[in-house]
Amino acid sequence: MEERDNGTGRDRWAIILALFGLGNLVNGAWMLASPAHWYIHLPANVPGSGPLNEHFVRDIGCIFFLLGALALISIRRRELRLSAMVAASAFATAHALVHVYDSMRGLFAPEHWWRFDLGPIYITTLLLVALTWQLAREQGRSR
Amino acid sequence: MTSRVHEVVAQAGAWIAGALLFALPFLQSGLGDGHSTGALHMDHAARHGGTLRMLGNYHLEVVERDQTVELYVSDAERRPLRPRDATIAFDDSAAQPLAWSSYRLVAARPAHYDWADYRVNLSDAPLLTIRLPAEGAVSRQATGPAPRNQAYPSAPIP
Repeated sequence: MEERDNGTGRDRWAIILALFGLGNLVNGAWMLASPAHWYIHLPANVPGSGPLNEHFVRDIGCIFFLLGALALISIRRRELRLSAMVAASAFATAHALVHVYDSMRGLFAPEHWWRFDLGPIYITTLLLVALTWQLAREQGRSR
Repeated sequence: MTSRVHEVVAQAGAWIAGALLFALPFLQSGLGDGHSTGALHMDHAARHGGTLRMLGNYHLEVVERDQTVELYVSDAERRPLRPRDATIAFDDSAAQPLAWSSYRLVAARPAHYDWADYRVNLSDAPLLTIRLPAEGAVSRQATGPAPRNQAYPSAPIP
C-alpha cells in the first residue's frame, strides 16, 4: 500500500483517511449536536456504562470531531498523515484500555465486550494500529 | 501484469480498511444474538438514583425529584426505549401524560401521594402497566393498595 500514487492518480491512503475522517466527523458532530440522541441510538449500548452526562458526551465529541478533521486535512497535507494516524491510534488504544478495565471491574454486563465492544472498539483499534505501523514503514522507506 | 494485480489488490484493501474504519464504530457485533439474554437480566443497577423494576423483558426505573417523577424505560439489555406514549395516575386521580424529555419520561407530581399507576405504551410490546408506591409511602404500602401489574407477573429484582 504505497503512500504515493505512482502516477496513477489513485492515492490509497487518501481513501483510508477520507473514510476514517468522515466517520469520526459524523460521530463527533452527532455527539456535539444531540448528546441524548447519540446516547440512545449509538448501537454500542452506551447506557451500559451509566447515565447520560450531556457535557461529557460533548467533551468526547470534540475529540472525535478533531480527529476526523485532522484525518481529512491530512489527505492534502501529506506531511500530517502519520501524525493524524498516530493521534487516532493513541486515542483508540487508550479508549480500548479503558473498556478493558471497565469490563474487568464489572461496570459492563458480562456479554458487553463481545456483543458491543468487539467491532467498534477492539477491532477498530487493532486496524488503526496496524495501518499506522504500515504508514510509518512506508514513510520510512521513502526517506 | 503483476504490478497491475498488486495495484488492484492494494486499492481494494484501502477501500475495505477505510470502510471498516468508517462503519465499525456505528455497528454492533451481533455476536451472541439469539442466545439467551438471561445474563443480561442480571444487570439491575438503578442508573439514575431511582428504583428499578422489571416487567417481562423491560426495565423501568422511577426517580422521584422534588416536583417531578422521571421514568426511564429500557429493554432487556438496558438500552433506553422511547415509548409511543405513557401516562401516570397518582392515587385515585385522573391519568396525566408522561412527557418525553431528552431520554426519559417526566411528569409533575403532587407533594404527597401513596402510589402511582404507570402505563407505558411501547410500539411493539404488550402494554406495560404497574402500580408502584411513592418512595415516602413504602411503610404505608403494607396496608395500602396492593401492587398491581396487569401486563406481566411481578418480577422481583434480586
